[in-house]
Amino acid sequence: MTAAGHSSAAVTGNGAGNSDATPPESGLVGRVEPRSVRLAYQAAFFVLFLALATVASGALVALAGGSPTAVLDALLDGSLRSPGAWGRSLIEMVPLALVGLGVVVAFKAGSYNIGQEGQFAMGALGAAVVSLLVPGPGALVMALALIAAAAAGGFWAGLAAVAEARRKVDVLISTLLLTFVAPNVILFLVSRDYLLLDTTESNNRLASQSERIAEEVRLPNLEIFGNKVHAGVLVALVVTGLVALLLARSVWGLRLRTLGLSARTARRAGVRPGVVGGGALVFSGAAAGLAGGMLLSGAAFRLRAEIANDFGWHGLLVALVARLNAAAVLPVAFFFAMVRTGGGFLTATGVSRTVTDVVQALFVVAALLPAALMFIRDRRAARRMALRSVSDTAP
Amino acid sequence: MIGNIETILEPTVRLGVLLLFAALGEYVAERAGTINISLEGMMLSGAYGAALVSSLTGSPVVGILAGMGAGLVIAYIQAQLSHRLDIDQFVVGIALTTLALGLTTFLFIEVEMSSGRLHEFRIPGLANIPIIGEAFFGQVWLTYLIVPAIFIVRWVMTRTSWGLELRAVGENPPAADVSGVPVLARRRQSIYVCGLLAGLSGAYLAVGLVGGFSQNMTAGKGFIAIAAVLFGGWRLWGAVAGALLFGFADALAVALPAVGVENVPGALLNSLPYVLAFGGLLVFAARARKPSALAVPFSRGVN
Repeated sequence: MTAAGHSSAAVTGNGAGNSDATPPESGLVGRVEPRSVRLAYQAAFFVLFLALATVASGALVALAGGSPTAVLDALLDGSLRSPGAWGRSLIEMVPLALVGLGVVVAFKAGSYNIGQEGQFAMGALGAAVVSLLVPGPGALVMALALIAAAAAGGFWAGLAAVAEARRKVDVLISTLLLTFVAPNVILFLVSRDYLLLDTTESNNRLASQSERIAEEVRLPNLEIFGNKVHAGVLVALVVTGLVALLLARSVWGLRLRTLGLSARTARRAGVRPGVVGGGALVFSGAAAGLAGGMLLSGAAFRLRAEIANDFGWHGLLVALVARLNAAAVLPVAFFFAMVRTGGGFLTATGVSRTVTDVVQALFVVAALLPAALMFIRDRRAARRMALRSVSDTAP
Repeated sequence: MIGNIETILEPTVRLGVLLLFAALGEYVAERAGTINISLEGMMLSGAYGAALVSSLTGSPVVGILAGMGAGLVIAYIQAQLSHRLDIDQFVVGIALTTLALGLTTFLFIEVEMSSGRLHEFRIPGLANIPIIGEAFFGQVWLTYLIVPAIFIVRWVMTRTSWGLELRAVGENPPAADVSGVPVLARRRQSIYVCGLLAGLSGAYLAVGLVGGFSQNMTAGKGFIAIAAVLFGGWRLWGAVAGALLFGFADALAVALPAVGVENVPGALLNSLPYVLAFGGLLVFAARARKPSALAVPFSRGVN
């Protein structure tokens, strides 16, 4: 990792057992930094950069002639304080969190799936097809629709997985390219009256959209303290817990993380990259697809080509801000959901709601920088160490 | 019939050259070992910078230079974060593309600018050749710049020691390192070159073709340009062929209705470049030999 390779583990404190070890007599290995100190530094850097991102966002608003406090007020009103607002934010959080979890799994396995936006749209398509066309009892159809959503998203990512396994096509590019195809598939289907186009009187065949799905096949609503949320919130909670647990504690999680850290080591240890890596890719597609299904069955109710509405991209950013930590995905997703729902309340402040896109991007950049500062610290420590060991061994 | 060929050929050249400027930059970056997915962000900020500055100064040339500068800014951040501070290059690329998209959209709404476009420069004599004249010799002057650009990139990459070092850094960084080549510096420089060319591509789109900026006006063209480099098997002429082929697919969406083919669904035409790129990668990616150290971060002492 650093020039002083032999001592870098001790310097950075990555080794699990040596966090409290006393420095040996020889000058070769220097003072060990306890893990807690390291974490404290990371947290401090993180807070510092989040503060900087907030200040930068405020400065941008001020430059655009708005009042930063008014904008913050509007964002908080729209996302938390006005009646029913935090319920809306929670509903918005569900797709973001599910997409983000998929990203965590894929990236941890070294599979750079960045086509969530398309997988999300395909998931919504799967849910819409089942919800509209399959007869049967409401609850059963709803469950089938969500399964179909996950399958459709997984299939869309699976195309990239097969292309990589068989034809060595880079996942990064293939998932991206497929993202631009997905909305066109939906557009094709919802603008043909013999397929999914809404042919009822109210639409008059004008808008390219499907009919609304029936009341019985929608996600059931729960009411908490006057805020309406749908059952998907519970699903998101359970899935987050499961993924975090499996990644940290299961054989599958270990194989996946090994593959992501070093493909060569993983292969030596008997991990099959096609199965584990491709599986992670399909899983992340299925998660994005399920998110799309949740949006359709729980909030949107009808299919349009633009249904993904940046949920896929924002879910990707959620995972990056969460530093690929499954447990952190939920709070970060809620934050992003607040920015999304609050953005609609900015009109009165005279600042364009597109400022929320900049704010989100600034937070993504801010979340990257602590790692950079840690890298600089480690490098400095290693250099000091190398210098000291040279001066100690000199006659 | 001949008129139809002309109607399709002209936008093919126009859109193909747009992709080609960016693909040339990506080719340089990838040969040095970086899959630079902030290419889209570089193009977008190049387009915005060019449109804004040419509207402020009234000079398209200054605007184009500003567009290249805007691409370079993104490239500088990408290079410093991924090849000095060791942050994952894809993560940086995603973050920067998002930032460029958000900032340009916001600024486009907040800052007013006038529109203005380069005029066509018809090369006397040649532009009157039937069928191909308009397409190859009747474009804005920026279009013709692609020919020297290709040959300069080719000359630099194959005939200069700097270009050789770039390629060495993309193939075998430890070997380059022990030979005294500054690996990370070369990689950063390759991204700067990529930023300049991608900025130029964006400027060409904004000032040369459209005559202004619009929200997310590159609309995934940067990703198509990356696909063109992969499609071309990391060879210069392959990338050129890929960019022109995808430009042709883009052009079909524009030109097919104009030549009277109207019953092709718009959804199909819109997705054609992406489907074609994916299909092309399926056929060609396995045969191509990619730079051995592509997307592998370099640090001394581990391997």
